[in-house]
Amino acid sequence: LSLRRATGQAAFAGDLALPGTLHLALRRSPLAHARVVRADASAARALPGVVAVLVPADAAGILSPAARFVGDRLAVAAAEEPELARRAVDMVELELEALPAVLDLDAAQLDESSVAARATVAEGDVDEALGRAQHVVEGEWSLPFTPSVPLEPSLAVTWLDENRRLVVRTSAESPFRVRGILADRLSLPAARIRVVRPLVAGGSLGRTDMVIEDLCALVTLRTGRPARLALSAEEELSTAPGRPAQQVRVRLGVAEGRLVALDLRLRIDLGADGEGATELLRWCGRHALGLYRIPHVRFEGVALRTNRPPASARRVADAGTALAVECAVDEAAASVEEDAMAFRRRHLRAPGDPGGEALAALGEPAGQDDARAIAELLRTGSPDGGRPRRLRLASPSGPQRQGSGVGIARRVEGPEGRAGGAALLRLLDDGSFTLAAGPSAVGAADELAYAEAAAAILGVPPHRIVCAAADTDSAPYEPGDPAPAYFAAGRAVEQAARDVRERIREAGAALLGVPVAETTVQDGVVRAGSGRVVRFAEIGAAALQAGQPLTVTATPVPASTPPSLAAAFAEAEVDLETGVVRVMWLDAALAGGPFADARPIEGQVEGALADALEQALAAGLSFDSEGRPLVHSLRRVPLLAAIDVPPLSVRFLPAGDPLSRFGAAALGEAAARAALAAIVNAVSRAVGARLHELPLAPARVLEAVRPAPA
Amino acid sequence: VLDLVGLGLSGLKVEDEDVEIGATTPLQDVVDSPVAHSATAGLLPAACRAALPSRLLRSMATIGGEAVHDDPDSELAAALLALNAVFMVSHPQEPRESPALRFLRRPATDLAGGGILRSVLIPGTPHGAALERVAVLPSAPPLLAVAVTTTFSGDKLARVRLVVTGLATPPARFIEAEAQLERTAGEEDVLERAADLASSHAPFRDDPWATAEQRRRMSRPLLLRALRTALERGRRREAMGPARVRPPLPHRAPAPMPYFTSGRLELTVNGRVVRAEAEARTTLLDLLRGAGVFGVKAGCATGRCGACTVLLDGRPVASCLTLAVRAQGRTVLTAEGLGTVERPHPLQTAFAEAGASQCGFCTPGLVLGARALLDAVPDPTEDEVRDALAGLCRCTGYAKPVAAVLAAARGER
Repeated sequence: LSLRRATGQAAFAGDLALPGTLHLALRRSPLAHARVVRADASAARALPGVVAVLVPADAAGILSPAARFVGDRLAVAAAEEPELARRAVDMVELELEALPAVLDLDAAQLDESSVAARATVAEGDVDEALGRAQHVVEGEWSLPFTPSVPLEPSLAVTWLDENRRLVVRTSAESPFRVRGILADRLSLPAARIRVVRPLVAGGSLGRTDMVIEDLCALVTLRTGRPARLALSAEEELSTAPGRPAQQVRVRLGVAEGRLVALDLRLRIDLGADGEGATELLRWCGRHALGLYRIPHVRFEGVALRTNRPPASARRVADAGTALAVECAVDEAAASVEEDAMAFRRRHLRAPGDPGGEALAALGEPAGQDDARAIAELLRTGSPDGGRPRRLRLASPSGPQRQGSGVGIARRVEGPEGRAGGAALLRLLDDGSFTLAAGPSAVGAADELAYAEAAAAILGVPPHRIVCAAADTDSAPYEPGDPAPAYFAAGRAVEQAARDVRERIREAGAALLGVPVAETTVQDGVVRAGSGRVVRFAEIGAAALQAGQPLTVTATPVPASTPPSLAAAFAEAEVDLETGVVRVMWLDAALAGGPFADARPIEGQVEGALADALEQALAAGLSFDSEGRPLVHSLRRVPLLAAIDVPPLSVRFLPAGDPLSRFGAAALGEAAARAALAAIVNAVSRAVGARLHELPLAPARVLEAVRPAPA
Repeated sequence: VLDLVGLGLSGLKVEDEDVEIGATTPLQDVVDSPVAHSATAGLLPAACRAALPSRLLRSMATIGGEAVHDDPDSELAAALLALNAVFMVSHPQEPRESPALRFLRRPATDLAGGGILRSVLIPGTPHGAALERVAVLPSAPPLLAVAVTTTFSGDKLARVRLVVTGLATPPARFIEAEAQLERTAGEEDVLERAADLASSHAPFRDDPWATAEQRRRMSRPLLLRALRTALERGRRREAMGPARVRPPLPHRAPAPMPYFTSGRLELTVNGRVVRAEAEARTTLLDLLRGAGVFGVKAGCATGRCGACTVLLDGRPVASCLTLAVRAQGRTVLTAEGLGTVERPHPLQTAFAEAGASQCGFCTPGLVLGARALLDAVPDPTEDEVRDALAGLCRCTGYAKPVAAVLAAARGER
């Protein structure tokens, strides 16, 4: 499969040309909150070569008559040429009435109608415990809105097939989610819609949200012609769902060398949509409270809607609380003059520890025990783990200071993420197999790993198993929720392969006329004790002729999903005179495996480490007082290039089920969170001051080192 | 479209002490040129690398194009100012020689009325140089950069050029600070006074990355470092940067159709003749994808992401920035032409074996950039590989792609 990628054969959403395709362009709102008073498209429609121009009045339920953020969709034009569509859509006369806009968390919090969700859990008496604590670490951490910037901007191609059924080719991750939304918005039965999702560019960055497919589909339904809407890189940057801006206020109390109280308040900005807010808050709370044993805890989270671009609630959206706790714990360790790793190990949370009620209220499964595994991971980064990477303090001379940092993270599925996967495996009459599995993962690991796992169980070479694309027509149904795809689908594939193997064996035994117990299955044949064989091809053909094709759908619901646990270690060098931060190396240890092939998983984790580095040092989009992004051009956005990345190392400590090749879930997300904390802690150590605001750009670091004179 | 590559303006010439660089000379050729290195104390190649930290973009961008580009943060413009470059402009009336101080302030002034930048002349050779920068990431444009050259007469500084970027204006020289340094031996207190002067008077810019005041605070130590380094290097007559000079890229052929409005083009793509109608503004990317060559990916449309990289007569280009007419009569190689699943090129095998793809969208571009690198430099260092990975990858952290290229290089040797 990777060879397909390296030879240019792998197809993405845009890699398709249909004759007679209409090209679409969008008109976007210049205002953060506004009502469309008048929209006149007559001049635009009169342009030769323009086939359709839709304004809110023409597209109820899809184009809203109110703009909710700068860049919201107000009109769409469809024309024979992309240039022409852009010209036409700019000619639409729009009269907008500006409405009061909510542009930051402070303003949003004053307005109850901006609240998308709240979550409050508490156990013990936090205020009393903080009052008694000998030392209280306090701080407010803030993370900016972060666009994900996949290399292929969002893109959709839609057409009607020969049965006038709507076909949608999309760059969004989950075909079933897209189908559900489209059926709803277009008032079509889901069965009239087929959604095909080829490879997704930058799926690890989070492309679960549907961005443009509805408009494209509407144009196809209205005109009967294929339509293509491809966002420009600039549109993608400033309007596609990114990671939410968030602020986390922490108070962490220490008494007699122990953590006694944690008070955590989160405000998170979901922008114009606010979808998925409740689950997101539970993630944020669970991942921050579940790490340490603290008798008195309180978490108050509020997710707010603002007139900013919509944020995605799904992928690595919950980094803030975990970061804040990991930084505060570092400071707490320093306050009792204890090694940061030893202090962490001493406080890792075990089942039965206080705090369980609060965690259960946030969706933590009962009896979850990660303390020993996390302690092992931490040990690999300390001297007694054989890796001489002591957290060391800065060297005193010159303007550069070095510091090392550690961070740990865990991701535990809540009830919503424990859904199982599904796999559909079919034996054909030539002895080969087709396989469709879901939820459809998006990394390199998925299809290849699924085919290899099935091949190993069935005793055939992997190329005899052909994976179907993610297509609502052929793939088993998947809800498109953040279920860990690799784990859930991989388990389903394994079960389907075992079931098919058993049925092949039974069918083979019948053809050979011997009891099943006397047969063996290997190398594409069923063999009787006498040595007589019957080939898979014969079994497949016989099954078809008998009208009982050998097809198995497996939908196992695993009793539990393994947690994803990570410890990360980083060393940073900070130039105290210029504020420039250089990360010297990044290192992660994860609980996971065994894997059929660790390389793709390793690559995914390395990518997560790089992503954390970008988030720590450079990423984030800021907005002016009118809600307009301050950077419009992709050229001015710092994105990690190969020369920016230090040596990365990744190691796995086996933790999963030794009988499965799919022994881990969502490792990248835990690695990214742990690495973000490790980097921020390393930088804080190097400068000798706490940094609370991401990204750690030179100007900000400089302010922390030498506050500007008043 | 009028294609200037065809007027014979590319290449480097040495006359006496001077180096003349043709306006259409690609920056990568400057980086690879021993002459450009020795004649500028290493400053010009270093500035080309810093300004465009991508081998792909350097092999496309020209020194003239970058100079007239008016980028307020250009380290290349800063270096040209520090090197006293002279801009040679052909003009319908009479040719002009415009000093950097004048030309770079507003290139349009000297080019108005039909002027064409013919070449950039670097007179003399400084003894030492330095380039210091403050940036969010090494690959990001600088918030602030300082370029310095020093020329000695005996123990004394005969000439100092001190240039700062990050201003509300294009990069500027600080002539008063230079004057304080000249005819001194560059004692520490003199350097500090000069740095104070430049730092306090520079009209720094406010932007989302830093305020003017923050830039001012960063500038003083940066100026001091650049001055000390340029002084020390000048005393030792030591050039900047890696002395390892690499062979130049394959020659860039002159424009086959210097003047073009629209018409039928014919080119060879992966060994197959492709004929297509094109307009002047049609990009090579659109032509190739229109011909069904989907291994060439459409990404950012600015050359930065590198997903659209192809080899044009062996030279890597971002096809989104290359006009289709440039490919008339030429040979284009894409990932599909480099090798197939059945018969992969060793680099493609190395990428697959290393597990160097996650989503795989960037992979064809990375593989082609690597192929161009290994053609020119069979034994690259890891830094050279990182610099040559033509573009961005958002999923892998680059570790496995870099390992794949190094493994392929070892395999080919």
